[in-house]
Amino acid sequence: MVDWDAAVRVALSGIVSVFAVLAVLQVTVQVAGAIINSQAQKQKEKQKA
Amino acid sequence: MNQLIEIFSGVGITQLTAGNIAMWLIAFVLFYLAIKKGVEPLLLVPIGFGIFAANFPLTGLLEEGGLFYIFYHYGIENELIPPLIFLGLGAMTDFGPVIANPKTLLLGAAAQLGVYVAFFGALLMGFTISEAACIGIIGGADGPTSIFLSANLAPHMMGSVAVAAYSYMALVPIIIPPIAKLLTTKQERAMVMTQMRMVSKTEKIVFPLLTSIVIMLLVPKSAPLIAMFMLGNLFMESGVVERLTNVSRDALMNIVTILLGVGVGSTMTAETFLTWKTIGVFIMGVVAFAFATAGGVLIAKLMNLFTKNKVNPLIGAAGVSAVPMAARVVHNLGAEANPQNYLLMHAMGPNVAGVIGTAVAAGAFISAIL
Repeated sequence: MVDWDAAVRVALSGIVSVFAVLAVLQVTVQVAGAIINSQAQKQKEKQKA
Repeated sequence: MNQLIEIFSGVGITQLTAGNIAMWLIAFVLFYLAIKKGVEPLLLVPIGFGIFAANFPLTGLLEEGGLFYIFYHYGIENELIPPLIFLGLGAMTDFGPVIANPKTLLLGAAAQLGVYVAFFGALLMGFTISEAACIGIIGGADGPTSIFLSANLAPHMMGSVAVAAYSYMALVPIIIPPIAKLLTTKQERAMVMTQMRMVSKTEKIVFPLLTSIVIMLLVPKSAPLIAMFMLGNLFMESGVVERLTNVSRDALMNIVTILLGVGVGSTMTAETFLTWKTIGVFIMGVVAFAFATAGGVLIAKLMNLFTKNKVNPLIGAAGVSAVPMAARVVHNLGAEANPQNYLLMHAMGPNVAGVIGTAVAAGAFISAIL
């Protein structure tokens, strides 16, 4: 007999984990990209000046 | 007379069963697919030979201390080989498309929906929760992750899960197109995406570190796969350890592939493989793939309702991993609808995000079940 409560818990925790983790990673990558690129831009402007 | 009987009872042929011969035939089918049809030969040849040799009686290969037992016990059961495969994959993977367009990470997550649909399908077929999780993960189209999860949750099903995962990965060009076409209009498939921005070397070096921090903090059980995946990628992107990069993606990868294939094949004895459960694994495996493809496409369409920079919904189908074949199939579908369409690099984003997503899904299953 399948324990459906446990099965639903496993599936829900899995779906939430996958989407939450990848959403957090998306935001982190976006923010890190913006910071790195703005630093690189500043560096370039400094060199030009 | 007694001595004669003793001698004959030690000869393999007297102990051969119909089950052994049936497993040889299955091994020959795998050899045919790999050698004649070119279906995943790097894996199916060693897996096939593992099945073939493991089904000879009296060899002692599978007994404690036997050669195949050592491959399986120390390499797979102890979770050594799948992470080493991930090390090699990391050293071959360019995360540039994901960094340039981070929302493709969500498409990699969306493709995991197939994993959970197949999970419930398997439960309805009478599998236990642990077995259903291993069947569901086939939808992630990632062989090493499927093997890693099976080693943790249902070792008795590892052989059938691995063969189903690798077989269906080879069938990506047949499985993806009808589902993707069914869920998209020709106009959507013809959509040309804006060119991706350039990604700096610094961003590529920071990515594996950031990913390790985020994933290993949130889903610690996926650490063996993610840590090695990101280490391999850091080797490659840092550009200062060329020898380690090369050995990870060439020599080491080839060695562990042999051990993995033979070790997995050796688990497929007649008693464990010739059961109705194997048929169930193959049926639910294709269901997992189909829903994973559909999940990616549908979430891409949903994303388009809320975002300014629209994506071609076809790239969602590449979230099923199977790198880079799924991305190539998506590219061809886009080019078929519009010859000016070049989707390959765009599809690589969800494609590699799918690998990360599947590793996270496996870690989540282990956390929730064990």
